[in-house]
Amino acid sequence: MVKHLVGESIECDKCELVTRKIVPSSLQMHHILGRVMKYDCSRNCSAKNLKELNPKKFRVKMTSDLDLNTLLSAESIFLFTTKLRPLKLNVVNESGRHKANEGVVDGFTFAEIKYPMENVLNAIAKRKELSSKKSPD
Amino acid sequence: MENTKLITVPDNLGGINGYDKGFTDSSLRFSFDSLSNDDAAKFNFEMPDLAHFTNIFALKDYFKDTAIINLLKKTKFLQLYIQLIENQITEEEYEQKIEENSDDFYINLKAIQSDLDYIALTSVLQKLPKKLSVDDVSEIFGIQQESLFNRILN
Repeated sequence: MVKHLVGESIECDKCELVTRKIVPSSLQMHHILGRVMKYDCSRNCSAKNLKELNPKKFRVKMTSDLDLNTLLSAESIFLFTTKLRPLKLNVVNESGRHKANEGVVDGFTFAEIKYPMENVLNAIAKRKELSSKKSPD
Repeated sequence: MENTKLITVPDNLGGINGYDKGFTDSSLRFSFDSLSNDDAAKFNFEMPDLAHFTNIFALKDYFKDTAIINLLKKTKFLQLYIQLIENQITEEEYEQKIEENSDDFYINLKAIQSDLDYIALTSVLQKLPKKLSVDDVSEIFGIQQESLFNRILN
């Protein structure tokens, strides 16, 4: 199954990553996962679930897909991993013209398709507007 | 009292217009009395309003300070990462440095607590590029992404 909508995410214990551009972003003290490393992937990327969580239960986001072989594919995604060592990536031929980096993240991974903050702000403003229309008091 | 002017601070102070009804309904009011001898302005602040007003600025300062600290942490981490890639240090040294100085590298994420936090954050965000994604904002300002979504749901 391929996931490609904005805001969709996967969680797994082992993840195959294919991306044309990947950069480490920061180390974060996540309130659920503890110490995690964040990567930013862009220019067409995909993350595939190679190993399901045990027990199969979400840890970060309630709507995350947890099924095996689910592919998250998008223009840009970010991922958290509890594996703090740098990833070992290989250069492969992704298409006839472009090469890509391929690697396996061997550890808990949460990957999500990126979306702009402006959308969230607009959604909150819209919701407030609707709720104020319902209750003019 | 004919020469008294009432000045009202606009309702959209602090971010999204009309977001927090409790805040915008009680907008700040203060009056100038030109007949007074010392020409001093008479401020008729109500305490809850003043508290809101000062809190917003304090919170904006807090978010700006947090952003600077978090970007410094990120820079420091990336410098260490480059050292590792350039083989200036080994993986063991890299892990040891992160372990020993964890406060210098790890960004702490906190939840947005109140409407005032949210208003202050949006006010700061208005001056930043609009292309920022949610994870970027979370990283820069040290905010849990889930707490942002809770604002939509609640």
